[in-house]
Amino acid sequence: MKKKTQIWVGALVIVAALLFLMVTSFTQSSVYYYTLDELATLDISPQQRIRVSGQLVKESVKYDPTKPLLEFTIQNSDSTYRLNVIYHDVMPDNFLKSEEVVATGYLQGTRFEADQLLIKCPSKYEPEETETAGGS
Amino acid sequence: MPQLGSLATTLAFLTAVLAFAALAWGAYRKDRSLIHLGYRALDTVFFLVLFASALLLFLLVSRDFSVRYVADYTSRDLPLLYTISAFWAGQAGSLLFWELILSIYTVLVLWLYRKHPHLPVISAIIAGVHIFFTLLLTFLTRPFDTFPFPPPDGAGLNPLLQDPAMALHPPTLYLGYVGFTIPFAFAMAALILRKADAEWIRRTRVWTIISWLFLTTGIVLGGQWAYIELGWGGYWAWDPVENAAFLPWLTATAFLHSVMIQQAKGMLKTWNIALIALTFFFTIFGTFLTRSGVVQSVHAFAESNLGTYFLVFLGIVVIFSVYLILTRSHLLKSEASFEGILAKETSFLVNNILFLGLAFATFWGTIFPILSEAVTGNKVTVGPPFFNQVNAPIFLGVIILMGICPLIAWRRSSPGKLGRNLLVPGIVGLISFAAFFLQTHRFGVSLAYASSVFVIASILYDFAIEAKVRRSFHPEEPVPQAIWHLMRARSRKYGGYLVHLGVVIMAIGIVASNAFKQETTVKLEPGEQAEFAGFVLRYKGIEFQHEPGKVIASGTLEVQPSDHGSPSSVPLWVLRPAKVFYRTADQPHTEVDIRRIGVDDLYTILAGYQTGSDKENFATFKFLYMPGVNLIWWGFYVIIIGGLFALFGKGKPRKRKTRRATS
Repeated sequence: MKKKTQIWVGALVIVAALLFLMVTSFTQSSVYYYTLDELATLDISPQQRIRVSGQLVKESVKYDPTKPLLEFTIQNSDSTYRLNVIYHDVMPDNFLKSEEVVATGYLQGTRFEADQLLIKCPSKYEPEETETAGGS
Repeated sequence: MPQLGSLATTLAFLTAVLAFAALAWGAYRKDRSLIHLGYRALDTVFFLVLFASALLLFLLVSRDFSVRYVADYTSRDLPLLYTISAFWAGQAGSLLFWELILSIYTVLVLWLYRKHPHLPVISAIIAGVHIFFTLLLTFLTRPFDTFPFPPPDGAGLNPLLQDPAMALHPPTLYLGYVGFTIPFAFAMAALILRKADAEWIRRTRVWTIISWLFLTTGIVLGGQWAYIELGWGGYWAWDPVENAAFLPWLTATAFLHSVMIQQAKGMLKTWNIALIALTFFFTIFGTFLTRSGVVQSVHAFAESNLGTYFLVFLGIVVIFSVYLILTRSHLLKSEASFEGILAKETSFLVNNILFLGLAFATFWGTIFPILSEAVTGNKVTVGPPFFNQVNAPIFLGVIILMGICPLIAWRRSSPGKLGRNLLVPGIVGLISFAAFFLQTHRFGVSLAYASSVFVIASILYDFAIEAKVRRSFHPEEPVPQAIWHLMRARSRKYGGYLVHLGVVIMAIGIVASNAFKQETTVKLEPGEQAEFAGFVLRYKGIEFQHEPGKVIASGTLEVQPSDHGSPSSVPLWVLRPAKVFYRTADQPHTEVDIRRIGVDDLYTILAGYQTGSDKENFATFKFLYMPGVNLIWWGFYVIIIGGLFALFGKGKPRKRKTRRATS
């Protein structure tokens, strides 16, 4: 019986350590996810890392491959709120085909500095991914 | 003709319902003729699904664009290999492919275990799974839907999916996923029939190991595909769908280890049943994540109403398994108890806690966005940093445990004995830690490297001791022959050690390529050169190449070591990262060029180019240097060899209650 208790105590100690690890990492790395409508009503500090999604305004896409620098605008579903996004990296393949863009980064005044983009394509199984050094 | 396909899937659904009813009722009433009817119904499901699959393949290859699925995923100029792989490139086709694998497995089970007394119940459970997938194919995602007016050409397969690794990644993953249905069905049948010994574990060992190997292969191929095709030099991003494949892998790995305790000591019975049920749950959950659109993922299919059906099915799986485990708990009593803290059993227990910890953290991070939105209204996501911070230390624990495992005895080990065994590998580990730390000045990295060296040392040490013992009985055998005989005689043990060795090799590759990755972005005019990671890369210009359905624009780079030769000397290699313009895609696809240097990779990306006059003639490149990245793939080969060796070797499992000395 004593052996069994020892085993249990040992197991609980490991489980507690794992939970502690999870909780601390979680509070450090959680990122709030907003839609553009929500973003309009909130006051977000430039230091807070957030994730934002919106529809891509296709005419707004500007890409300078020499830097490389990608600039575009996303808008909410009824086009009442727009946000300019800049991304200092190579334009992802299929970016122009995407309808919805999910950007992760920091809100700097009226524009959004993204370090990670996720693209959602319409109606098909289409894996898309882009990561930068800052993203992982 | 496509109507025949729809007819086949509908009939398959009805036959699966018939099979389930006949088998369940027949098993309950012990009615042999009903049971027989059920078996034949399952055979019929197999033939119907085989027919439907062959038909879809035929429609794809003959490019019958009146079928929506064919028009959506192929085009006239798509190469044959990718036309075939379009079978599993889309939602409806991949579900049919899943059902096809399940059907093949089902007839294999019916034949291999034809004399098994539990077969009626086992096959009834499998028939239940068939009902779910044929239902989806018949009513929700129908692969044989047609257009009234066929388009002249198809939309083509996404260029990203036109890669050999991607053609193979889904089938291997599915072979693994679906395979866990079989041990799950055996476990549940054993519970239903109140036969709670380790028989189901022994009989399904081959399924468990093969499924695990396929799942491992699928995950590694997915990483390899991402590395080659997505063009950012990464192979794993903790994306929800990657996690979806990783979750059953983690629980299955825990299961592979904990069943050894049940077989050796008759302990952890409830635990093992719960683990296999959890693994099966995660295979369906993974499919649910991919198909339902509930999480933001790079791989996700479009949002669809499939999610509800998957949730209902997952609910049934949970209620069914939990009910059986709870009502049968009195049968699942341990036959022995832990005899000592310092015993192999304990190390397996810790292994299981760590693997479930990995699974829990990964699961939690994956579903947290959904949970937080449901509870607080705010969607909170956690990115790769969370998974890395939590899982990296746990993995380190797993690796250290792999090093201790060979040195610790079953039942009971005295601190002194363990200490003596630990001495040599432990010292090797400590010395290597000091060496790595002096060189890199990075604590975590050195710890990971040193733990890996510790594992290798402890496995070699075990080999040395056992070979010495064998040679004292057979002095005439030379050492290599003695080792070979040893491995053959204990193929399960040494197969397992080979897998551990592969994992460690992989771990070194993962740590090195993350910790010491270098990258840079440069803009070069023709004739200009850049220095990077000890190499000089000279840009020569853009070359265009016309091929059927696509134009390739490649930026030619001449590479040589920077400390070697004059600028005019012959280049060591020529690399051609490119942009490929597919006729069916409105944006170019980036094709990277990778040069392997030992275990490292020089990874080049053509980010953009202009070919105007003078000032407008330039290209932008991204260069990455990935140290040790090839160790990941090499480690994987070792894992597969080890797994197959454990499976097909001649060694017998350790008999219950034998002492180490007699084995």
